[in-house]
Amino acid sequence: MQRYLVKRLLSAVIVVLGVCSIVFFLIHLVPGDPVEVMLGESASLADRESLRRSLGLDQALWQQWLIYLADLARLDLGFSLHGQRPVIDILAERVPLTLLLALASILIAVTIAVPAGIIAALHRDTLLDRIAMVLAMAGAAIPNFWLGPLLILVFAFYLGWFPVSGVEGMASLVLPALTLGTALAALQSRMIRASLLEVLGEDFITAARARGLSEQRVIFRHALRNALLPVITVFGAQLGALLTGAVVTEQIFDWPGIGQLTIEAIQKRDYPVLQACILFISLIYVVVNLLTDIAYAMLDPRIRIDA
Amino acid sequence: MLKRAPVFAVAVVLIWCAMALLAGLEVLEPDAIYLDKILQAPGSGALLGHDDLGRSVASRLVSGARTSLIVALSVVVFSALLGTAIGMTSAWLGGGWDRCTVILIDIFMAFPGLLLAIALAGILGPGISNAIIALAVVGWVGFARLARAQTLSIKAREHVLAAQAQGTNAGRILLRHILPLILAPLIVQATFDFAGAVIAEATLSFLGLGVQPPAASWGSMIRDGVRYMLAAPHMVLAPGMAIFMVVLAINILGDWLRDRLDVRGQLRPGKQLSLTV
Repeated sequence: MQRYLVKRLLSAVIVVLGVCSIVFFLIHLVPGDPVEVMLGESASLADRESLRRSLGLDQALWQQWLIYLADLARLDLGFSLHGQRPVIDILAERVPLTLLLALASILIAVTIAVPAGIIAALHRDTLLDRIAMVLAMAGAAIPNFWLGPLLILVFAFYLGWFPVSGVEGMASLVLPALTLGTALAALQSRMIRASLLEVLGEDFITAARARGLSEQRVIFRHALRNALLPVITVFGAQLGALLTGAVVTEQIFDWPGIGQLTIEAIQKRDYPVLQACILFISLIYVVVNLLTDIAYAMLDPRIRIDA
Repeated sequence: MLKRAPVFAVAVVLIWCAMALLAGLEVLEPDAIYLDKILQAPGSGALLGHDDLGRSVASRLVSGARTSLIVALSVVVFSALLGTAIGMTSAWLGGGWDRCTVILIDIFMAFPGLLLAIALAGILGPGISNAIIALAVVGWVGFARLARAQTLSIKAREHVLAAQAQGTNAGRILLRHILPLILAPLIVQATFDFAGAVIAEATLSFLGLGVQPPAASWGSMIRDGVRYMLAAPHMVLAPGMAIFMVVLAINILGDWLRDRLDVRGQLRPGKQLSLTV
């Protein structure tokens, strides 16, 4: 287990370094001059040169890269090109809102997916199963930038149950979380169904039934625990989709999280902020993937042996 | 092969292609502005109504089909060619080159794909070719991982060793002796990525990073329509339904292909959809 942990941690560190570097080169190699963004086109040459020097942009790219990595190590993300605020302060303001949205979406997804997946699997090939799976297919195909406006139209405009957008208490969390959680619920319910069906065919289930255990106990104590394992492993990957979805969803619902910040940074060409946003989201993604892998290895000894 | 093909899905995809062709013929006028028809509801005269500039929603829907098909097709073709080439050569050559590729794949897998594409499209600037570049930059990874894993498992088979013993050159072995055997999972992957690319293009356009006005995309149509949702919901309903149907159809086709070609065990669920939102 220890060897596996070390190996997995080491590769996570390499990946994080790679992610930082790709983001850095991506932003520095493409056309577009941050100095021009900050000073405007009419600035004098001397002003430009002095700003360029103070930002360190006059140095060679590889030097800038090393400085960037060293700054990162000290958690110094630089300053926003607009308003001169430290990027880390801006992130600290926005991140909790995105995490709140993500957690609410996961909660909604699990609340829908677990019962739906179980019911579909237990009533395999019946009408109930078909309906659940058609809904899951549909849920996975609905783009969230369409679902969001539809939900606003029905639940905010016509019925007036929830606010249209913004952050005004828990009620304003419902529609964005539903928008973001639907695709996840669809994916998870299909996986839970498939996984449960596979487990239900195994010998230990037959054995449990032969011992005269109640069906309820067989399903919940024996089958479900094993069936949920593979669902956990893909959670990391799904979180990535969730965070990307948050970019769109926050835009629709005017939810001032990190997703909206990303789009604002793109529109204002605020490179330090954009860099920090991508980095942060990728970091969450790497960490969650690492944790799921470790959790899985702890739950299932076979993984460790393979590794 | 065609037995029990999902008729609905095939029909939707065919209609989609037909719409794209129709748009290519330029008989419709998706950009024509009729000031007297602004926000007109479906029915009277126009099948799907008119938008905020009085343009025909139906014509723009057809034009958007072309955008979406062109982008999705280009993205999948570029990603598949690049990814398969990298994955296969990496597995074949092994050693340091392979280790570098694996690290690169791991790093790219650590980005939520579409997020990187959004940032890249934002930095490169809006436009259809930049959208294709941005999506292909993140799209190749899934193919590379799959092609590498598949090539590794086929590489040691006897027919490959026999070909090597006969002095066949590596390129020929990869293309003629290995590629045909790993094509099935790659095709399934391509199908799912196709659906992902359709959504990704629409997402970029919705965020204003895809095609530029006045060109039509389903994503930008929804973006325009959201502002007039209460007065003219048809502006949002039509393009959204189009994306929904096309993505649903491609996903159904993908599921069907996966079952037909029997590659279920070779694709890791959840991770193969590098582009899917």
